[in-house]
Amino acid sequence: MFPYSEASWSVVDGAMFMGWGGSLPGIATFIAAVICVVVLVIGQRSESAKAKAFDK
Amino acid sequence: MGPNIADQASGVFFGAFAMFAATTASIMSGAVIERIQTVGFIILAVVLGSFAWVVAAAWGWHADGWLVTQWGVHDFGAAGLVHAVAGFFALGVLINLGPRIGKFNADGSANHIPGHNMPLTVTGLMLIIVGFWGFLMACVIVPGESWSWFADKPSTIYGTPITLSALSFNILMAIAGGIIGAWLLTRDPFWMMSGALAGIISTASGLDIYFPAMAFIIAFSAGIILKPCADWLENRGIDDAVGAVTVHGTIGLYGVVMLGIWGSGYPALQGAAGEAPVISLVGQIVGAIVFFLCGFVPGYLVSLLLKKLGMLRIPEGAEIAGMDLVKVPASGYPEWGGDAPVTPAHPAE
Repeated sequence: MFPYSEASWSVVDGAMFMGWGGSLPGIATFIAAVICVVVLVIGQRSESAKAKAFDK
Repeated sequence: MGPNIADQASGVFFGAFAMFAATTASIMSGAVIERIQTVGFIILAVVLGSFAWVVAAAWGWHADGWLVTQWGVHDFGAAGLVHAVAGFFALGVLINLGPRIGKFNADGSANHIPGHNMPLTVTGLMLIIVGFWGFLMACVIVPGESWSWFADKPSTIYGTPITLSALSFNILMAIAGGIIGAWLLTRDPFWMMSGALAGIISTASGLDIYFPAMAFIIAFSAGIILKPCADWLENRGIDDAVGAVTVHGTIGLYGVVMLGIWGSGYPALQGAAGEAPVISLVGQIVGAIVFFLCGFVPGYLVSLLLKKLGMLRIPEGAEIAGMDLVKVPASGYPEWGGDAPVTPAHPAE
């Protein structure tokens, strides 16, 4: 929801992103970081498995 | 239009909108390549570039548009009114145009027809990504012009605030999320770069107000659903040579609806509280449906007419010989000869 009491941009004089003033930005940042780490782990595991298939 | 120190941006805005129109046609061009007549394509490009998306923009990309004033539709970066309109216009054309010879087998299974050069293909997709910066920055209304919303700050086309920092960072995050999402599912450079485009398009509606990490997550999800959506279409006999319907159409509408989920309650337009319409999920879904129809209906009807007139598809012999050989007195890919490999599109199935 809009983080100001009035649903109007005329009352905004500063931060204007979604979730400002709440926990949403922090949660989103945490989820994004987890995605990056998980993808790295998945990538490393699958790449290692593929490389081993050629290591005869 | 000549140099005038009192008018710095009219030419930029004109150029930007001319480019938006050309973009719609270029989106369609990828889907229909290798079997469409040039005259038919040009007629379709004119209808799409000068009518279909213009109607959608007038309704959903203007402070007086009924989709904005009545439904609170917000589509800052034109995910719906440029990308989805062009993507679904292309779908309407593809239904009448039919698949390329050799794309589908007798049992209905699809073959993968590869491009000639993967590095060049990826380079081209990267150029599109670079071009997106210009496309999206051109959606910003600069301050201080006679037609600007404000004298001292930039705004969106709806008069709502925007900063170039927000735009830059959200585009970066969208590219990153889209590439990573597509990589996770495909490991294919073509789909990864298409994932970057999907990432940008999926967040385009709300690039002005997304928190960057949210843009990343939404783009990541778009990158993941990209290939399955393209496969779904292909399994229904639609031969979209570059995945344009999915990347621009499906993901465009996905982006419009995503803003309805995450941006609900935000003012869609500049104005006083209670007077300015607010973004809502229902409003964004209505916008998505209208954008779909603005693209698909004219695309289908005009291409059907062209088909009846014999102006849509090239003759079978010319298609088998290849458009390069038929139209250009040069061999673009001599190393391939006539022995291009044909492989199953979905070997695991």
